[in-house]
Amino acid sequence: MKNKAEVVIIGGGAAGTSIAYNLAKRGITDVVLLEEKYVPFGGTGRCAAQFRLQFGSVENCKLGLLSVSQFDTLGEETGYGDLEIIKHGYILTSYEQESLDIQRKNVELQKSLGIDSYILDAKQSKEVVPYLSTEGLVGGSYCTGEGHINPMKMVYAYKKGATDRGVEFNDYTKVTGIEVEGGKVKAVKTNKGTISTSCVVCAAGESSKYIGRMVGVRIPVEPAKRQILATEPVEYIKAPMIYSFKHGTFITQVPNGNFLMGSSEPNVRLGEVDFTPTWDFLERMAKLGIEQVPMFAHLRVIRQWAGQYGIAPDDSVILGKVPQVEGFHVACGCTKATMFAGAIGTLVAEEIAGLKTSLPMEWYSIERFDEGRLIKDPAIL
Amino acid sequence: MEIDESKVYLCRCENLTLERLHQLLDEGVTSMQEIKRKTRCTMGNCQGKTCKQLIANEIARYTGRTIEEIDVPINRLPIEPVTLGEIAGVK
Repeated sequence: MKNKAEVVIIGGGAAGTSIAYNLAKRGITDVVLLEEKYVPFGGTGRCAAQFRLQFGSVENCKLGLLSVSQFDTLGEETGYGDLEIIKHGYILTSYEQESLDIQRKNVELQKSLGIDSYILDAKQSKEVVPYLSTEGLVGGSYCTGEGHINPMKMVYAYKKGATDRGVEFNDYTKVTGIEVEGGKVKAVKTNKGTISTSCVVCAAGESSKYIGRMVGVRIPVEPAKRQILATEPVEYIKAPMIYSFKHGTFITQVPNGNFLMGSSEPNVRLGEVDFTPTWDFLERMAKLGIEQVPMFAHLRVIRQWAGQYGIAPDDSVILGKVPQVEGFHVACGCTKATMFAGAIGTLVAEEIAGLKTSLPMEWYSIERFDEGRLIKDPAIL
Repeated sequence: MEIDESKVYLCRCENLTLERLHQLLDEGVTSMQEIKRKTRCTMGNCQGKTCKQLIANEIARYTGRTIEEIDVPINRLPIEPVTLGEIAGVK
């Protein structure tokens, strides 16, 4: 492991690997990435493998658009190859006229930003998702610019692109402290030695608050457990992800044929890291899943796992410099690191390189919480 | 007799051959967790019950480590595949 670097990135998930690649692409290659376990151990490796554009705020829609434009070329640009990108779309379902009206407003906003989404009635919804039950369904919003990406391949493509240009990756390396002198970052201490540096990026996802404490910065991201189940694979029919606010669930088929589904967790305590899969999730998800897709009653569950969301006060990303410590940057996806990886990497790398950023950093900065500039997005579960 | 490694399947559900495993190990990908994420091995219908131990043993043998030194993934629940209908209590 190097003992000196221009930039040290903490975290080997979608955010960290994307920053490593986007820095290297801009000529900053004296970079070390530190990962406590393996790439990608955390949320990225446990997510439902989808990226979306249908948001209800300019800030989130723009992050989606910037990310998708990078995903489209990433496999080829890095020489990694296919990332299993399939734009099967999302359908955000509505069971009340009132919620469909909110979606109509979101679609208007999306269209004004160049996102090709539209409103479907119940019958049209059934046409795009043949296995969806229309009982009680009023309609939904639908877009085909979004869909599936294999998050493992995505981070390995970022890793390949970064390491081919000279970035050093260190797995099973735990950060134990960060030295700050005169308000500036000096070094990162790990279980394998110390690295002198003047620039540290915290891309530690749901564990970011612990890294923040090392430099006296409060990062308002709390871990919260979520679970996913996977069914046996059946023929993939390229139907959209079903995202239901009413049920608090998502249901999607991945190209391998497995259905993945997950739900909000009524009994989870914020702030606890817990990887234990539980029966109550299986039972709740089975009922909610069958209610929306009756044929699920006949499909077998073969796997179930847990991961952590990193919950921010407004459920959007936290990016960029912090006012208290010079050289300390935050890069938290806060439940959306995989789908926003392209934007997170681009924006943070641009800021570190001293370039004009593709989107205004003040939208996403940590200071927005103190200054009361939260990102209000009605299209998030 | 020489074994054709491209015809030896360690993971039948996801088609991981001995040849592909050796290729990854030669490339320096020696973490079993990473091999799982790259190849989907142990994630198929057998739930890793037929392949996981075989793959772990081969990684240990090929890289000269003991099995305890390999980051073997845990077994995922449920122990047996079970229909969502049975879980939800509907027919």
